[in-house]
Amino acid sequence: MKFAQLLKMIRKQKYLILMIFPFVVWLIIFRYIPLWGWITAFQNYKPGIPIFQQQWVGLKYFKEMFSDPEFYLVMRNTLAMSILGLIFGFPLPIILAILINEIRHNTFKRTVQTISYLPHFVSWVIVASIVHAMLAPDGVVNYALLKLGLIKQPILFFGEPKYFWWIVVFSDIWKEVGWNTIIFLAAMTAINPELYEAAEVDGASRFRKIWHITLPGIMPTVIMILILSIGNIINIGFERQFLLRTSAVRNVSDVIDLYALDYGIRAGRFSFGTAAGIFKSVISLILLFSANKVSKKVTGHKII
Amino acid sequence: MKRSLGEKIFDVINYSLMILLVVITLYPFLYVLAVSLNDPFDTIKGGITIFPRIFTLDNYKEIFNYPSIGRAALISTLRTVIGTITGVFFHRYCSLRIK
Repeated sequence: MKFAQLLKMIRKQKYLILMIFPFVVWLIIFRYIPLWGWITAFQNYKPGIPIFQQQWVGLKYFKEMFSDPEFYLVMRNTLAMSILGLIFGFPLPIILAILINEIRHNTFKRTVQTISYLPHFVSWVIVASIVHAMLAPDGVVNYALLKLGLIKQPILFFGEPKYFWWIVVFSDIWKEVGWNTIIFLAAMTAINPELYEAAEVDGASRFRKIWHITLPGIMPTVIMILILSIGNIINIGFERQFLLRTSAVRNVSDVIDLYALDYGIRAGRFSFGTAAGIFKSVISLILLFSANKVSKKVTGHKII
Repeated sequence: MKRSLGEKIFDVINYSLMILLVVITLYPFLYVLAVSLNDPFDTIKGGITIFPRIFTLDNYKEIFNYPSIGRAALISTLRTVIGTITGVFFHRYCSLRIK
């Protein structure tokens, strides 16, 4: 009997179930029940009235959003910064992890690791002010470029829209690259050292060992991080853009989260903000599952 | 262990890259530190690198005299401490199943 088996299993694992119970409750309360609020996206929501007495408006807010030219502008900015961030920000921690792994000198290795983690622990407010100082017309970046003779005049990095995406992407890389190596370095320690010894006996060079042992060894981790990053393409947040932007670059700095905040919650249009939120979640889910499926087909690794 | 020429070149490049990374990471912090210890009117003139030009602790005196700084620091600390403890606790238990 299936049911009897189930009961037996429950009895066997009762302590485990008891231990996980509070966290399942936590997950339901804080992660699933709030989804209930999604129905306000289909209502003309006004605070203070019970949710079922609100006026239903169907897809009005979605239609409004999709016919708003501003929405396409923020989507373009969101996707541009996310995809640039993925293209440049995803391979760098892997390369850095391999390079750090190849350092033989242990003290130096630890020092490099520790220093590269440092910016991760500094909040974006501080990082943004540092970036502004570094890229100022009399900042160190302009100074170096002038000294090298690459430019004649200092560049106004925050005065021209064409630099903004790169500033966001590279300040993010500067802040997080060291931190993101941790998971790859951890994956590397799990590789069986006998593989390296065997390769040594066979006369493999270091590059061969990196290519044929280290890289395949961390591949499942790489795929997992890649799938999760692709799922997060639209979850760009707004801290970086909000703190780094100036009035000159408004057109390229508005992202979907800022849009939901400015046109939804701050303007008191909660339904509109919720509609934008739903749109984001749906896209995110689609991206996550597609990436997972493609990865399963191409590499055989999957996470869901 | 004997190393080939290619490996030696690789080591030199690798160590140089790592030193470059350390410099790029540390410099902005040293700059901020220097500015924080420099006379504010002198800072506006620009050209500060990693050492303060006119040393002063006035900036710090002013910060610590803000009436709300104690409370702000307390709230930040509490948020971090409570957030970390509950976060680690929950993650640990939720991930017990996943192996």
